[in-house]
Amino acid sequence: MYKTTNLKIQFGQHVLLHNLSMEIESGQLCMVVGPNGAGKTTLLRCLDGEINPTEGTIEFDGKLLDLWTTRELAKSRAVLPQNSSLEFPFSVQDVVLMGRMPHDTPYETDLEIAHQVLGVCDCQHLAQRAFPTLSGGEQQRTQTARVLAQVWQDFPGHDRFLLLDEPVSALDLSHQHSLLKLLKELADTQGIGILCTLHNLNLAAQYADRCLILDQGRLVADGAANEVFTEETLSNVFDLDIWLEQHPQDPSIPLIIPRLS
Amino acid sequence: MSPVHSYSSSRSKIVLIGLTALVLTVSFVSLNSGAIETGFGETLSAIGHLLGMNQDAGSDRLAMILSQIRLPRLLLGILAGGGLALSGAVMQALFRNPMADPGLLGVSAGAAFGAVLTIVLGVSLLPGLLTLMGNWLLLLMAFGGSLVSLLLVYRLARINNRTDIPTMLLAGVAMNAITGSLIGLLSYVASDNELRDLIFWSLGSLEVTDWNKLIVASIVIAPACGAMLVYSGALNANLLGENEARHLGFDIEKVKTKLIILVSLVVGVIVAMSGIIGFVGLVVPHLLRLVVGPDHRLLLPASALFGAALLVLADIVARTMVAPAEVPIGIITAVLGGPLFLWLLIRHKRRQII
Repeated sequence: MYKTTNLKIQFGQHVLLHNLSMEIESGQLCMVVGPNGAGKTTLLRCLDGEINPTEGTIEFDGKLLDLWTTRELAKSRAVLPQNSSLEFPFSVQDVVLMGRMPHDTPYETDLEIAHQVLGVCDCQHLAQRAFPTLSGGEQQRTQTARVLAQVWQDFPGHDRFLLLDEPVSALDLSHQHSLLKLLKELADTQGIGILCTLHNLNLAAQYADRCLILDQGRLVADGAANEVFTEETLSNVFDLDIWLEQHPQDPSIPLIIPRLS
Repeated sequence: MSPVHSYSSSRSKIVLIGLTALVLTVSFVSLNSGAIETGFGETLSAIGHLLGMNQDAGSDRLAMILSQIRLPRLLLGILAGGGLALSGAVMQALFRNPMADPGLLGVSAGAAFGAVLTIVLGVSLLPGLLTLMGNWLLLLMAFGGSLVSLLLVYRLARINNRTDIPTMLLAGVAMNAITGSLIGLLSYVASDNELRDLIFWSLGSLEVTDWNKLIVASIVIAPACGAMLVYSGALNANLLGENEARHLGFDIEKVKTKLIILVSLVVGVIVAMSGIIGFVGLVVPHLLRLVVGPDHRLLLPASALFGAALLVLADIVARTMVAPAEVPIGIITAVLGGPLFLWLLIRHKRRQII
């Protein structure tokens, strides 16, 4: 449903993405990993329409991204940028309700959806708090809830998709896992396609259906975590001596451990 | 922790009905006060006379005063107060910054420059155009002045898709200084009569000498204000960020362009009519946000109503404080608004929230 063909992004002399071709199906939880400056966020900003590709094309749901109207796109695709600031004292509930703006559903439906996503993001107790008074992690969970609210309801005849840029960067361990578990569930049971950038390789290994490894603007590996996460690839890409183990409970999940020098 | 209110449409209705009642009350007091003392009963019967509800001959003189002096002044107060407060609220949402205001950022000064340019040089440079367009030329030039200054400040203040507060305020200071000096320059070549007009621009007044002018102004201001209200949803989304607004389905670039034009129109025409009246656009949305929350579906119409009530009230003070003389209304709003602005700055600095 998201398809890029020979995508290239260049700013001045700097090529941020080289000839990237890939396709992400609906119902897939796809994680993009790679070192700082590898082009993860650039790829996301390109997919969300913020940056126009220098070369190549992006298709969403079988149609070139440029041909979508902003409104139609917002009905089936939601985006969580890396950092969103909101200084005005909206209540958490009102922030989440903004996720329902593209839809013409009745207010009661929107409110019901807001309560559900606040629940799954563990923000229910914050609903009537002013957004700027929340901690960083609480703000990130609220923004995630807003984005989830946007694609929460089945949209017959259309695919649903989430683009998330480092959604767990400010979350504690338990919230990191509960969010990724939720994303996996949404992909599996609701058929929502999800592309998510992430720094924690162990989280990616545990939850992703598919991992894309980016390095210096190039796609160096693409596949299931236990296929693409090899000691050689990861050590090369992250410039760190990496040791792979198996998860004690599930040998198909690789555990990534930096070697002591 | 400050209390917050989630948006609710029933609460909004109550707030808006309350504010409408406030505007009506203040309006009646305004019609009732002036150089000639009148009782409530007399004023009421004169209003009835004007509306054709009674033929009481005793109300004639007062009805005349109302229709020629107090009523147009009241209407201009409502238009200017409502329009400035609404423009302030919209600008704050566009800049994603609560310190934006048409006066502080030099938009009003730009409009005043356009108007002054027309007054001083219009007769000699564009005599044909002046007779052809009449009142419209002044409004058009004021609109042009406010549009240019708003665009300049907006461009200057935006760094990497964010509004930088110091740059924004400094750009406003610069705009005010530049237009101020240009107006000063024009005052050198102005005749005595024109000079009187120039001083009027810098201090502000709601005096209306010509019903036609008022009608022309309201034809522009009222629909433009109505059009701004349409964008409350987009402005809410814009507070999250421009990209976020786009991801929520708003064509934010188009919305911004339309709103910048609407704000320039409203501020331009208000300045052309009443000179520079500062701080209304800053203070009104700010105070309301503390009470009704930041949601623009309520904040925008509430700002328009509260701004109207506040300016009419300020005008009553301006007219009665040293009656029969009159204090320029811009001085009243600045005396009240200036310290309030300082308080807001300190508060903002301390808490880093609005």
